[in-house]
Amino acid sequence: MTLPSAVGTGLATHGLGGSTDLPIPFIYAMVGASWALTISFAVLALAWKEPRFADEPPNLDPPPRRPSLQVLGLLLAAWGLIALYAGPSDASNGGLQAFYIFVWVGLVPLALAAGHVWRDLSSWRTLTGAGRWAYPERLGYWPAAAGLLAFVWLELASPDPGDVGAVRVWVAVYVLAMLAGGAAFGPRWFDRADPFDVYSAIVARLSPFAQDGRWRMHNPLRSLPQVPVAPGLVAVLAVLLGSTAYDSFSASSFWQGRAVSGAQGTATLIAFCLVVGTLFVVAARATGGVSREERRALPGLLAHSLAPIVVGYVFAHYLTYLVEKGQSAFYALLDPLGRGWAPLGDPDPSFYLSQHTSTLAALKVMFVVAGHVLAVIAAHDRALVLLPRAHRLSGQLGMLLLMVAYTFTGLYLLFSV
Amino acid sequence: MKTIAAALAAALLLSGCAGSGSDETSRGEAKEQTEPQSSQDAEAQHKLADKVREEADAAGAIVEIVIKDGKVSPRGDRVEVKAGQKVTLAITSDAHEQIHVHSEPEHEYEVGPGDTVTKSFTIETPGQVAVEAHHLDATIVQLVVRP
Repeated sequence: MTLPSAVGTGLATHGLGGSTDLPIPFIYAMVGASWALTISFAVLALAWKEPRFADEPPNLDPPPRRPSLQVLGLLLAAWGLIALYAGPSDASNGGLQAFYIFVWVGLVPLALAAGHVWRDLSSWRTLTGAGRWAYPERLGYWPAAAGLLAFVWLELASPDPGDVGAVRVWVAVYVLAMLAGGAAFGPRWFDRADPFDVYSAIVARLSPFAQDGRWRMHNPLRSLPQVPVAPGLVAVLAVLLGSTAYDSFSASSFWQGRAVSGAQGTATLIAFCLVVGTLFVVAARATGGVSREERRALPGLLAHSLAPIVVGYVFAHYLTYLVEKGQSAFYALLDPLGRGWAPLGDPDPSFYLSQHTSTLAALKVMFVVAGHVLAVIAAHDRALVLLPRAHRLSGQLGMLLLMVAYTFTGLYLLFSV
Repeated sequence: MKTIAAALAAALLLSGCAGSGSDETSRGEAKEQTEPQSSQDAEAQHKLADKVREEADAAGAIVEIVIKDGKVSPRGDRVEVKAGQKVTLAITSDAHEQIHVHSEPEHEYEVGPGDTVTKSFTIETPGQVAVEAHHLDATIVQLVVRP
């Protein structure tokens, strides 16, 4: 049955209803926090004093998109869209579930495992040509940041995230914007303005298995600094990190005990993203011995180091959602029109992770700490390149403290709500 | 900790038996309680403790919900339950409301003005399950389901 749209819940987790993870035990959070703190200062004090990972120039000419993946991408997109628009109008809609689970969360492990295959799969890239005009570079990543904010607003702060109608409208606007932008500006549009494409491209730089669209084992700390810097890069990462934190926070009893209007929820979500972004900009600029222009460029040049924190926290936050809800979404997609098709038999999702609470808690802390350590190392290495010799130690301190603060907040949210 | 729990459980059971007037049993168990040193006795006590725990589980957790004058109480509280334990919602309402339990599978209950109803369910998978009042757009309780 469908609920009237005025009856928003605003409380449904990650867009879809269902249970959420137990809080991690306090001691797990403490151990994780101690590790993060110890390793951070060990890196600052003891690690290498000459940059080690910043010497590889980025490959500016990525290889051509693979035709087989283009076809696969078209098929998957058509399947998902048919399920979304022709399927049932309630929460059992396979397209709705696939959108929230496979597109939004699945994108991250896909990019980590196989690199930026999103670029090959993207139907919008396939359907648009070389474009008519040059992309206005001063826009940078800002359109992607806006698109990501629009998505997290739909997922976390809109009146009824689980409402199929709302998702249909959102996806229609997104597809039209992508096709129009692609037709106008060509592939560059997707490199800078498609929220999912940009997200995937950034995460893919952390993949140890693939580089520049081809399988190649390598140290991800070498490819991570190659994230192309453009205006709005910090905003993209701030939206990703701030929204995930807001998602945890909005599940707290503190927040749920209050009557929160939709506008307040939206304002709080935006405030989370702003605080994360502003603090990063301030911490990145907090060094001596650089000119005004150099200082202004610092946040963008260090922004890539936020990516591991985002990925670690996304994994900690969404793991059960992806693995357990993902199974239901898969079965729902097998029945895109809601006619009761069950080619693989009745759904029988396994709840292994939820049932093994200690393992799950340990995994979550591990993801957060691993992301933190990679971030601190990446920031340290880049700071050695960017900062004048006399300010190398003191100039890194602000960023290091901020990363510790991010990680402590992340762990706090995991254990308290 | 376990020993204390077991002793407590045995004491509880004991008081119950004493009430029923079975002298022999109560004397036998009193002996067990005063001399819990031998491993056999300890084992018996563990069994008793388990039994008491099962009985407590069977009664289940009860959540009293009052919907009155456009407000719902409790609001956003955490309630600890065990996986597989019976959870009962005792709902009193002065308005039409839809109570939604965000478990897997979901439960949905309708209540009307003047209704006093009890609804029971169990949740098998550990996690946090929100119980929401949809018309009021509020989280009533968050069931913290532990294994």
